[in-house]
Amino acid sequence: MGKYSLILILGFSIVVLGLIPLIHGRASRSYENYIDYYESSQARNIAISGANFAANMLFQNSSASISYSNIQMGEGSFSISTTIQPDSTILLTSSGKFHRKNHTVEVLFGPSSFAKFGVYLATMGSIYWTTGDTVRGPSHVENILNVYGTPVFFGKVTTLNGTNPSILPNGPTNPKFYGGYQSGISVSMPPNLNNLQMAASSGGKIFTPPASPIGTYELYFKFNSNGTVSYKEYKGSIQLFDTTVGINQLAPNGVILVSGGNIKVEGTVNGKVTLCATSGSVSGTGKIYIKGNILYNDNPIDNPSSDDFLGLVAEKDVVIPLPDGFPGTTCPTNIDIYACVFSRTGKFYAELDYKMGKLGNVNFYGSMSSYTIGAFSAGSPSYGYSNNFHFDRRLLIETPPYYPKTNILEILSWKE
Amino acid sequence: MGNSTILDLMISIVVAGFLFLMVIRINGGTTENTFIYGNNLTVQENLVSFVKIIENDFRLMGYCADYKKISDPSAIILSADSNRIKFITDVGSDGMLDTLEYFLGDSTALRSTPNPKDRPLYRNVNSDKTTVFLFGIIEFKFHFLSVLGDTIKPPITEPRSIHSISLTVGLESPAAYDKKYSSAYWRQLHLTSRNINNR
Repeated sequence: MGKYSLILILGFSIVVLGLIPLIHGRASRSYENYIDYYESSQARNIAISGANFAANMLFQNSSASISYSNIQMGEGSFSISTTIQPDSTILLTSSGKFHRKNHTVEVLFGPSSFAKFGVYLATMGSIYWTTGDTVRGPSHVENILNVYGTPVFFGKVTTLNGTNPSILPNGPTNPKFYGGYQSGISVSMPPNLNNLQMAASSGGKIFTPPASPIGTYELYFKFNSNGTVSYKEYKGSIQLFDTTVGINQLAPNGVILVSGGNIKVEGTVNGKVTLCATSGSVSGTGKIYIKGNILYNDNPIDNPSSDDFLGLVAEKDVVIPLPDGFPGTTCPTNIDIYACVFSRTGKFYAELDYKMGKLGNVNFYGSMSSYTIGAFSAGSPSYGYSNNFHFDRRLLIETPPYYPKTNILEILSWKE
Repeated sequence: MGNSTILDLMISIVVAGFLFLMVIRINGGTTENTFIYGNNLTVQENLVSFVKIIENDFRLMGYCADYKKISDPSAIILSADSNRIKFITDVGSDGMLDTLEYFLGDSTALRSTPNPKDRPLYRNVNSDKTTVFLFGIIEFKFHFLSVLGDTIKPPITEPRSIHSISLTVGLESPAAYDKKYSSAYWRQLHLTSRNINNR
């Protein structure tokens, strides 16, 4: 019987010895499973780090050509490279490697335009966004963002020097940044409008003032819904020219520039056009006056695929003037403006007079960039217009021709 | 000799008895270990596979191979709740916009499993159909943060305000050994996509 007991013990030992590796194997597979996940995560993190390195290089120098291989990072490595795509976008590829795992991150960069801002201000001065203010679309302040109460920002907000108050929320001040907020971002106004000048001189149209007669040089453009524009050329009170022509005939690339003069504009735009007023060395010029409603033939509110775009780019101010003959002629109750407004050194505002009384809205649909912030109403009781600004979301993708660029790249897509 | 044989026999019976008891006990232990290790492995493998998918999905939130189709990078998340999210993405990177929705089902939907706590998780692409994506979920909880780091409490009426997301996932085996369920947890504190508000 002792012999059988030994056999029993031996048999049992063999069975246990067979089961232990099975149990051990399952424990090992659990560990391997964890290691596999860890290595995949590390490879991805390394690839992301590589992409961040390269993105920083591109933000510093947008024309940089990047190509680095096997840059060591911890126990892994990454390789980064950029390629220019047919549509002039830049594709950054970062491949991360960690032990057995590889991961690739692809980032697409493109040039950024001022048209992408619902509101861009070089400085807010002493003006605050306050409770009841709603800013739609991305916005930027190349200084300090003044906020009080609970203004609402639907797009991404960036500033160079943070906010005032510097720490948010602060007492009654708790702005709603629904699109995100980032400080330390610099998007400065271009030092000049030379790019538009060049575009107008090669494929566009430049108007320059004749030596005589004397007086301020002005171009009055009235856009027609059939794709033509009627324009009149003035020097002082003398009309020099009056014609109607297709936008594409007048400026095949869509850029119309008045050098050393002012522009007056209204009408219904059918096509893509940028009007630009530069002052040159002539004082009192470089302004754009919006004389009446500016509409798009194909309304982008009804049809987001509309391909009508108007850029109004001024060296100085963009102004909604009092009507000719005011106060004998009354101001329009509402003004509709569909356009991208850019005022390099001035502001976008309405000329105000207490005799105009309390009017309706400036219904603005587009993008507004200016050096300082302008007013559409004043006084107490107030007179002038309420502003009703809406951002044209098409501008995140497409802009009026040769609209000023920010000279920095933006991330169009990030695939990891 | 007769006495000796009887003694041998008795000792053998006692030894054999001990051995049988040991075998029974070890057999029980081995079975338990095999079951638990097996369940642990299954739960962990399920969790890792699921986490890889969900991390990939969330990091591609707001991505489209044709970037021009993302007209509003601040309106990527369509709806969100503590255990539900729906957002715009490009499943398969084919340049076509898709909507992807994750949400947790009710525990009554998995009455067929012995585990009373497990619930089904649904992952729907461009569809309102409720196709079970993963079984055995006992926790699938989002925590949403604003750009200023404030917690956004459900119900979330303005999904644009979501800046980052933390997600906690808990899995349990559908069946237990001696009422012991195998479980695994995963938590990502900062789950977001670079495509949200990138412009």
